[in-house]
Amino acid sequence: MRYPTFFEIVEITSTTSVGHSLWLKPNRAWPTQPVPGQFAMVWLPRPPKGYDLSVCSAIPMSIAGWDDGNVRITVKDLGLTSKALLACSPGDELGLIGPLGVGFSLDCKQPLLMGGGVGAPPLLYLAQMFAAKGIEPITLLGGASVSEIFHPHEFPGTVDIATDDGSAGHCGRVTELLEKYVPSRLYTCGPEPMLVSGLNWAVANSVPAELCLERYMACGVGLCGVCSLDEQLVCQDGPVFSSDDLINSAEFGRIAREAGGSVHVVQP
Amino acid sequence: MANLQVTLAGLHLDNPVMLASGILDSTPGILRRMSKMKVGALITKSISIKPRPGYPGPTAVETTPGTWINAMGLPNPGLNEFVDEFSLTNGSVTIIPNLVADTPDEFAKLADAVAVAGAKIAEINLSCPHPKASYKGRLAAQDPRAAAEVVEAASTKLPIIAKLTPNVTDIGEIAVACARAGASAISAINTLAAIDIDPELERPILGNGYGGLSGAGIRPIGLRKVLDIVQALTAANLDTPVIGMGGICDADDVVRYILCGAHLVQVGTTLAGNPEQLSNITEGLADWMDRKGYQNLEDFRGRVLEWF
Repeated sequence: MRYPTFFEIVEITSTTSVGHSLWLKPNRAWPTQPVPGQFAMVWLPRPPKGYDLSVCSAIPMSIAGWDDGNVRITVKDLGLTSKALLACSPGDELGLIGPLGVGFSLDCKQPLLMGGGVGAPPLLYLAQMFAAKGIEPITLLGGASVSEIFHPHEFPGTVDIATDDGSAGHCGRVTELLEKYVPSRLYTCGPEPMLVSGLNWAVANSVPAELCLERYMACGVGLCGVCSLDEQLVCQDGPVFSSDDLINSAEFGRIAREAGGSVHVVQP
Repeated sequence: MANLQVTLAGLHLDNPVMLASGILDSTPGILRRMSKMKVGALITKSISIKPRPGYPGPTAVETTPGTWINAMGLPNPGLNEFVDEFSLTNGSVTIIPNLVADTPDEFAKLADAVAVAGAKIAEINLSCPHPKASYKGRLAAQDPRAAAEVVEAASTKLPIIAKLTPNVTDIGEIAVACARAGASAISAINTLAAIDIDPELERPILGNGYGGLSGAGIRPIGLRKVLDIVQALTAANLDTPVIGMGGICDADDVVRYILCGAHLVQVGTTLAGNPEQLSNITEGLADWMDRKGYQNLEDFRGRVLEWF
């Protein structure tokens, strides 16, 4: 049933500029553990103190972690509802419809993960799942500066960092780090231009890739179609797509949609 | 082999199964996917003159398995962007724009624009149950005269399907008024006006509060309303075709509507999470007709009317 499950915020951790981590405890556990890359429609049913009802909505958010039934999401101030989520406190209530969509595959011996900015949360959960299986992932994390690098110390395995301003790691784009590695698969999530570069690198080097995409979603449950990418539904056929799915896409890296379905151009 | 072909306002359709408005029809890409299925025609989401972003979420929630409450808020990019982006002429399957407006003049303007863009027929949404402006008042399709005015205005531009609400005392009266005003077909039912409440959160389950109920649970109501419409049209000596919808999940449900006198059907909610079910439904209808020995849809259309 695609009906919201009642969750209580039990703990808020890592309150840094890359986003606050909200740990959520359900009153009825999801029947299955989410796969990294899957998402939930996160519903803020009541405004926190100082906000009005206009902040109450349901927005798609990646699962950033899992601890024995408790779900981790990572919130950054990107809109009305996410701003209000940052003002929530332990004890506040949320509704989650999920887990939704298709996540990353876990059958990989030498995974290389690449995350940019606020796109990294599903990769943290993915890295932890690999580590739990005894596979040591390599993770590349990129951002404008060191304060925008997503919790590098939480990633198991090797972490390699790039910043635009050189304040940490390699000075430059995170995609410039790719050439140092020979993985059996690339897993990536982040800004679409970074994904495009990642896809191009993967194809040029015959490395299979899985890319986690973001599109505006109105329902999140495969009903309306506004999140479509070409003929695929990002909410249902994605948000994780393979390089084969995307290599011939007319829309990936080019256009996305806003509320109502108006087209906007993806900035390179 | 059963012949599923059917005619609607002079258009020849391969089969009587249409995609309902508002489901998997928000972009040209997803419509292209749906056009590859065994489907007679595709109806777009409701298009308004100005863009509408839609309501805050949750916008669609499954209240009991297979039955949903929704208030999407008629999200659409507005007439101009719609006409620019959606091709209404090139596809292999007929695409029928669904139009929504507040006044007969606005409906006429929309109808004119989609006719110029190549649409052969349009469906007009007289009956969305949850726009905030109207839920305290009445919808066009809750008043025979208001409904007729809209149909009359729009049908000067191209053939019109009038989509009706079940939230009335006498849907037959409204259908007759629309048919007499020039509607080429009547489609019913739109969603049932509904709310639902979460007991844990002690608030409405939808972002908009008010919504409409669709899916498996409403099928018997849809059948009753279609029966009422068919009987009223017949009594008024009108042969306007009826497009039945509401809770169709499989081929048996299509058969149920046609037995009540529907010429065509629309499928929507059941496709959530399973778009390919649309083809299964059409194939299942052909299988059912073969098993029963029916050659054409007319062979069993309206067969249950004698019971009522």
